[in-house]
Amino acid sequence: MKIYHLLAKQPILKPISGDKINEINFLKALSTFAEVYYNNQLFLPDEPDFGLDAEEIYEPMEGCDIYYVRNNIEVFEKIKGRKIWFSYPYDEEGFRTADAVSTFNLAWKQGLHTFHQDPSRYDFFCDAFPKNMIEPNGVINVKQVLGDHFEAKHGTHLHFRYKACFGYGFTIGYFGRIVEETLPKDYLSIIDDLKSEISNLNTVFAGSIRVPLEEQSIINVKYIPFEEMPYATSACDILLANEQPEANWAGSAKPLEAMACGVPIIVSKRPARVNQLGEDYPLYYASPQELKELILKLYKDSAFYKEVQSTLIAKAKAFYPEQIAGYLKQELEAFIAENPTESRLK
Amino acid sequence: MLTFKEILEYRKSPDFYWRHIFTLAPLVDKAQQAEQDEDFEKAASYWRRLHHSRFRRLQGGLNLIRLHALGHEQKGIEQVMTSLKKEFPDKVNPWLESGKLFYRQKDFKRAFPDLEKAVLLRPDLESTVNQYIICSRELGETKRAYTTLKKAWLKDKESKHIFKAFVKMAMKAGDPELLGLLNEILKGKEVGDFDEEFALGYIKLIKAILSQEMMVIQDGEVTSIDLDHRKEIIENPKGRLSNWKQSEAARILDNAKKASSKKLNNRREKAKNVLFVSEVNWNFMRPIVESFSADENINVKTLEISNIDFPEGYNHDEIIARRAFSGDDKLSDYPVNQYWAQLFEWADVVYVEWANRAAIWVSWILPSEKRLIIRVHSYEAFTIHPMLINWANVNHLSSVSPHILSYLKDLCGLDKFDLGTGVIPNLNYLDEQLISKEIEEPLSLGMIGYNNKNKNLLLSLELISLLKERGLKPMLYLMGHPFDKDDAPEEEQAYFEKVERLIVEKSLEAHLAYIPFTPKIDEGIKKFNFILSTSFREGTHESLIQAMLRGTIPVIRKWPFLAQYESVEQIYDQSWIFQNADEMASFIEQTMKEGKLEELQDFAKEEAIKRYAFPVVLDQYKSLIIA
Repeated sequence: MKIYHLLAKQPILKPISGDKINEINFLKALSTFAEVYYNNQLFLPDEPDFGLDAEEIYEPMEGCDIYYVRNNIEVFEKIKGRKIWFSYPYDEEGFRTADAVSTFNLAWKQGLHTFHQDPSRYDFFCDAFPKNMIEPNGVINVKQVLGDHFEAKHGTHLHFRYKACFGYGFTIGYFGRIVEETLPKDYLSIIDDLKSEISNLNTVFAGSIRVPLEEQSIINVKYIPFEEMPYATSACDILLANEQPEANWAGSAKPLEAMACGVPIIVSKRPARVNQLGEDYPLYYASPQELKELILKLYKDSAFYKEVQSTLIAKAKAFYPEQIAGYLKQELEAFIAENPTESRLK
Repeated sequence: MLTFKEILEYRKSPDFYWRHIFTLAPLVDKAQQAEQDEDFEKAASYWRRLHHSRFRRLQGGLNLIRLHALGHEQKGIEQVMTSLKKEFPDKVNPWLESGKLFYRQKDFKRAFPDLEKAVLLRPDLESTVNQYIICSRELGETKRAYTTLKKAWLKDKESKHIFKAFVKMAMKAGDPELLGLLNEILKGKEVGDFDEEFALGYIKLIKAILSQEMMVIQDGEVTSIDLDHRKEIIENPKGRLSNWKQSEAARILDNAKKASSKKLNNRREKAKNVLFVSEVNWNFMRPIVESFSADENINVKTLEISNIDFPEGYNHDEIIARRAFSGDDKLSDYPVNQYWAQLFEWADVVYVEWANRAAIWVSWILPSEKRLIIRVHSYEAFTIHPMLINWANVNHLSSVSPHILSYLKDLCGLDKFDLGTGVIPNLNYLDEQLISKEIEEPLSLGMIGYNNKNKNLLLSLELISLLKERGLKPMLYLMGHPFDKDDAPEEEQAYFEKVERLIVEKSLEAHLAYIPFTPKIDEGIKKFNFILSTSFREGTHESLIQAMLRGTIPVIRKWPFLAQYESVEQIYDQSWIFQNADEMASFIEQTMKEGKLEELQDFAKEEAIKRYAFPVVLDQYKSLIIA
C-alpha cells in the first residue's frame, strides 16, 4: 500500500508539538505495512529526521493508494486520488470532497456519524463543528498511537534527574501549555488541603504558563525535549489531564503516555477518555472532592497504587504502533475496497 | 481680553517691543497654530522666517528639521543642519536633531558623528545613547563608541543609563582600566549610598573585571575553560587578582559578607530536613540523594534553580546588588510564599551542588541561621563564580579533590572566613565485583574520554609509539565521543590535526581501537588491563576510579596544572604516577615482562575499595550533612 500524507503547512515533521508527535507516531504505525510518503518524501521511521528534508510543500505525487491530509485544504483540493481529510478543524470543502474523514477515537467517529440525528451532538463537540455540517462520505477512526519509546523509565539517571528537577517528593504533574481554559482549576482548588495531608507534595506544571497563577508552590518546567518525555512522565507520581470540554471527543495523547509509563492519571469521565482508559478505570472523578480523595488514596494506599500502575501498563500495550498497525491495515484496506479509484476519477 | 485703549498703551510698552520686534513670539504662535491646523506648508514658512531671524534662528531651524523628519520634506534641510551645527557647536540640539534624522534614514555613517557629539554634550539622553551604540555596531566602530561612552560617563557619573551602556560595552571590550575607574567611583561610597539600579550596574562591572582578570571572558560571557590562558593564575592563585583584592569593590563585597556571617555557626544538632540544590546539573548527585532519601530518619527535597522565575529584585545579580551595594540586608520584601523560600524555611541543611551560579545565589539569599554546604568539583574553581559567593554565609565547603580545594582557598582567601572545609570523593554506584575481562591483546590500554585537548591524546599516542619501539604490541582503546571537527574551536582543531599526523607518522592505526560512547562503562573497561590518565587537568578523573574498582591498573601522567598542590599524589598511589611517557612505558613494560599484571590489578581494586567503596563514602557524606 502506498500512502501520501501531509500535516498543515509542514514540509517536514519534527517532534516539537503534540500534533506533530501524534502524526509521527501514526506514520510509524502506517510504515509497518505501507510505503508512507510525507510531502512526497519516503517516511523512514528509524532514520534521523525520519529521512525528511524538504523545505517547501510539493504538489502531491501521483500513484498513491490513499491520500491523507490534515489541515491543508489547498493541497487537498488538488488531489485526484482516493482521499481522507482529518476532520478537525472543520472545513466544508474538505468534508464535501473527501472519501472519508478521520477521527482519533470511537466517540468522535460516532459523534460525526450521528451528528444530524442527535441534537445533543452539537454541544458534545463544543461548537467545533457547525450545525449545518456537511455529512461526510465516510468516517474512519485512525486511533491514537503511542510513541514506541514511551515506557516506564524508573531507575535510570535521566529519571532521577527529572525527579530532582521536580523537587523529589510526591509529585503531581500537569504537562501541556496552560491558558485560562486548560488551567487545572479543580486541582488548584484543593491544593491547600493536599498540602496539609501530603508533607512532601510537589506540583509540577511542565509547559508555558500564559495566565497569572496565584498559587506560589507550583514548579514550572518550561521545556522538556520530546525524547526525554518518558523520563519526565515517569518522574511524576500522579498526572492530571487537560479538562477542557473538548476532552469529550478529542482527548489528547497524555493519558496514553501516562499509561505507558505506569503513572496514574486522574481524569473526568468523558467518552474520549473512556476510549483510552476503559469503562472500569478507577481514577475518574466528577468533583474536586473526588479528585482529592483519589489523590490521597493513591498517596496512602500503596497496594492500590501498584494495582493501578500495572493495569495501566498492561492497557497501554494496545496503543503501540505495532498493535495499532494491524487495525489500521484492515480499516484502510476496507476503505480502498469501498472507494474504487475509477469511481473517484469520474 | 484687552480693551482698545489698553492695546494702544501696550504697543507703547517695552514689553511689546521685546516680544514682537526682538523675539518674534507671534510668529512662533502662528507656526504652532498652523501645525495644529495641519497646514504644514504654512508652518514651515513661519519656521523658515524664524530661522532667518536673528533671535530665533536656532528654534526655527530645529523645527524645520523636525517637520522634515515627520515627512514634510523641506528643501535645503542639510544646509540648515550644517549651519546650525557650525553656529551652535556647544548646543546639543543641532547635533541631536541632525543625528536622529540621519539615524531614521538609516544613514549611520552621517548619524554617528552627530550622535557622538550629542552624547558627549548630554550623556543623560538615554535614547540618544542607545541610537549611538546601534550606529557604532552597524559601522564596526564599537571601540570608538566605547571610548566616547567612557568620556561621557566620567563627565556624568550620576547618569544611570550611560553607566549601564558603558558597562555593557566594557564587558565586551575587557578594558584593563576598568578597575581603576571603578575604584575611583566607589571610593568614599558606603553600602546604602547606592540605589538598586546603580548597584546592579556595579555587579555587572565587577563581573566584567573579574572575568577579564581571570582571562575567561569572551563576548562578555564567562567562557569555556582554556588552560593555556590561565597558566599564570593557576600557578600562583594567591598572587593573582591582587588588583581586584585591593579594590573598593572587593572591600564592599567583603563588608557585606561580614555583615551576613552565620548566626548559629556552632549549631550541631542532627539535621532532619535536607534540601539538595543544583542549578541544572545533577550528574553526580543521584547516589547521594537516593541514599539519603532511603534513610527513614531524613527528609529529602531538591531544588533546581533553573526552574525558578525570580521575582523582581531576586535574580543572581540583583540579590548581590541589594545585599552588598544597596545595603538591603534584611530583604524586606522577601517573598516568603515562593516555593523556593518555603523550601529554605523547611530545610535544616541546604546542600548546593557545584560552586557555580546556584551557590552564589543561595549564599546571598539563604537566611543565615540555616546550615549551608557547597560542593565544588573542578571547573567552577576556574571561573569567577567562587569570587562572588558569600563565603561568610557558608558553613562548609566540600570538594571531591584536595588540590581543587587548596587552589580555591588560595584564590578566594577562604582562611579569613569561619568556614569548614574537607574532601570527600564522589559517591558512585559501583559494582565492585571483578568483571570478567574480555582481553584480546594482553597489552591493552584504554582511555575513557579522549575528544578534547585537555585529555591529551597526543601523550597517550607517544606512549603507544614508545611501547611499539620497545618491541611490544600495545592496543589502545579510545572510548567515548569522537572529536567533533565541525563544532570545535580552532585551537582544538589544530590539536587534533596534530593527533592525526602523529598517527600516520608513527604508523599507529593498527594499534588503535574505538569504542563509541555508552553509559555502560563496563563495555569498555572489560577490554583493557591498563587505564591511562594523560590529562593536563583533572578533578579526580572518575573513570579511573571506576576502572580500578574493576581491576584495571591506572597509569597516570602527573597532571601539570595545580601540580604545586600535589594533585595526583593526594588521590592515587605513588606507584602509578609518572612524569612523562617514557616513565609510563617503562612501568608497563616491566609489569608485562615480570608477569605482575594480576597482582597489580588486585592492588588497584583493593585501593579503590578502600577509598571509594559506596558505604565508605556514604558515611562521610552522612557525617558531613547530618551530624
